[in-house]
Amino acid sequence: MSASAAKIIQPVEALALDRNGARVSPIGSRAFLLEATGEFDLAAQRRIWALSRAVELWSETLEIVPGMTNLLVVLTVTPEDPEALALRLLEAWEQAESIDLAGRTIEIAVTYGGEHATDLAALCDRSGLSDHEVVRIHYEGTYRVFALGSAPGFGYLHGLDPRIYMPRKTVPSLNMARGCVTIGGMQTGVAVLTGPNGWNSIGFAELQMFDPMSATPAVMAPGDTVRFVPASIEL
Amino acid sequence: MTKPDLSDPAIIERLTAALEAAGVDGIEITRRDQSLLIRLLGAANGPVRQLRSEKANAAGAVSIVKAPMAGEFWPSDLSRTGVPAVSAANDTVGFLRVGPILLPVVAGPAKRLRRHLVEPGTIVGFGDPIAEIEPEA
Amino acid sequence: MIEIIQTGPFNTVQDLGRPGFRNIGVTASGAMDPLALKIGNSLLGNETGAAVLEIQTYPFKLRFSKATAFVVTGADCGASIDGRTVQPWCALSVGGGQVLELGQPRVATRAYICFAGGIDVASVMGSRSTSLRGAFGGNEGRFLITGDVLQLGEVSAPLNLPATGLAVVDPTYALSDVYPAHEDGALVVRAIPAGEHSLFGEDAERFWSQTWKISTQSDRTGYRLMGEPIKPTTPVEMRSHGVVSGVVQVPPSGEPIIQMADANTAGGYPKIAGVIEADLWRLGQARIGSRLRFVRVTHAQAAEVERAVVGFIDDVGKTSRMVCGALQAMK
Repeated sequence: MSASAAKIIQPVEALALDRNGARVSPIGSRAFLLEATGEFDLAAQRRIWALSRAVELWSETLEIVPGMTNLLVVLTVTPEDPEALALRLLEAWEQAESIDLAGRTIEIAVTYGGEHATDLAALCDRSGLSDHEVVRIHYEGTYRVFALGSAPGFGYLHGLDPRIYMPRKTVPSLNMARGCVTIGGMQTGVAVLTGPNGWNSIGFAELQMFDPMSATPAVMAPGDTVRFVPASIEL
Repeated sequence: MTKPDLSDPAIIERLTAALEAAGVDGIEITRRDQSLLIRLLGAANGPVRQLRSEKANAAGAVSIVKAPMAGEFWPSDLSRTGVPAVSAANDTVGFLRVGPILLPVVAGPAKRLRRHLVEPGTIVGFGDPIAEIEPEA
Repeated sequence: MIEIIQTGPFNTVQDLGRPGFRNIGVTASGAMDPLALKIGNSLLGNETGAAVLEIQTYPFKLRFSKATAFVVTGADCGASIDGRTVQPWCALSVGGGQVLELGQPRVATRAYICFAGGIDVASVMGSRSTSLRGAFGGNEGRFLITGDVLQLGEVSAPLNLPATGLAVVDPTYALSDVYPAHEDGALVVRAIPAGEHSLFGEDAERFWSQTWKISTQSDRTGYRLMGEPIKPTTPVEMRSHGVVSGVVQVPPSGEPIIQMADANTAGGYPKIAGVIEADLWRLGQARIGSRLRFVRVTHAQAAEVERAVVGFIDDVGKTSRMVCGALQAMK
């Protein structure tokens, strides 16, 4: 045990390596984030999925958390040489071939409109579309689960029609119900917890997205295809 | 081996002389049948002897707490330096430190600490006397 | 078995958490002061990650229904058994019917009551920690209430604790050569610059140089800090990414948030730094309203601190078993 660790205080340059469309930076001592710096699209996400598979096999990997065109890697121990680790991640990125995850197709029955569609009117105002058009555009879409996160089992769905993009609210709804079908920016999803929520609700789904007692607690997985099926439309 | 009689004045005299010669300011010997405490007081004004020999285990008598194992003796738990001792257990007379572990040494029921017999940080062996205790007033 | 006789809100069953499920949005949870949990368990001869009670509101009182051994670690809350004060960080044997009481701590905030065999609630997704957000794990996915009864696990290799108990040197003292002292009353927290550090320009220096105050909007999820705001030189639009506890994010207000044990699994605010894992327990014991300062370190320095801490915890487990064995032999 040496005393030097308590003494420190020399400035340390931030480690952030940027190369060939990807950037690696640390979060604390054991976690590293690789971000694809190009377009926010399925092609980038497919390479992230490929990278996840490769890095998951590293002996020093404890946990991988794919995000939206990025990957957080949590290691079992703090690396002595973080730069070497960052370079290894970048090399793995450069070698990552695009893969498509053979996901399942999940159909989610939705009640569009009604008491839970608290933000449908605002979305109509912003888009200049009628409520029927907004709903139709939403259920005609085919979505891919890019990543899970934020809350247990919550899937970030990519593939929203740009006509119904809607920024997150600056003042979140304080008590949005679990099951609300929501739009946040260029993404859509189904709320998995009742509570504060900044996304815009246009409908409601009964499907429970998460069961901690199940062997596979989350219904969705990255790569899955999601379709919304109108069970009823209450406009 | 015959045990010396600790109440024998000649023995006490010899021990006292040995203590003075060694520059030690006291000794305590505790046996099942006898105990002896010699303290040399006021060394600056010349040696003053206080001799006492008494039967151990007599009711109301001063008794000795011995180290239950080898360790480094500390009168407090080392943790709360600068912070008032919130909750030192009532009858703890000190601790034996072994690496990160502290073994509490207690006075026992209805007993209280009279004085420590070793300095903080002293390595003591099994059975070494570490404190004098007396009945609670 | 133990029965909760008195408790405030927000006291929960915790272990070392359930890492590995951030990729499905599940918070890791776990003790806010994992060091206190590990040391308490090591001292008792448990596995270091056995489930314990995390107490953060007081007073707290429980009754043991049968003989067992326990230790209260973390914040010194003047614990007593049947009204008799017990030494902090001291494992003791207790008999059935005895009552353990914890009062408000004067320094630090969270106390951990560890039991021989650990708390035997069902393991959910690999952990006994309570996930308050997901309402599962621990004791029915919620915080403890008066009248709750919890089972204790079987003890595989029981320690013969001496009647006087067996204490551990307070880690704040024992590890004082690896943990920097407070500076002008501010906790020194070591951190590594994170991805958006350089985007803060000169404000980045003010992040490191000022002392921040822990606001009242702070809990197991995260600490909001108060101080002179820091802002990126140009607005940053981030894509949502995974985060871990210790990440220091800067929301538009300019006052940083440190994600703690119940950290969100994903985030999108620019991150200026990440607190090293070995320092998270000190944050877990920091009080609302207290001040802290961040100090930059390297990964190598973080690894050195971790090794020292791991060595200390190992030493506690080995030495407590050795001391108990030696005392038995000398009887």
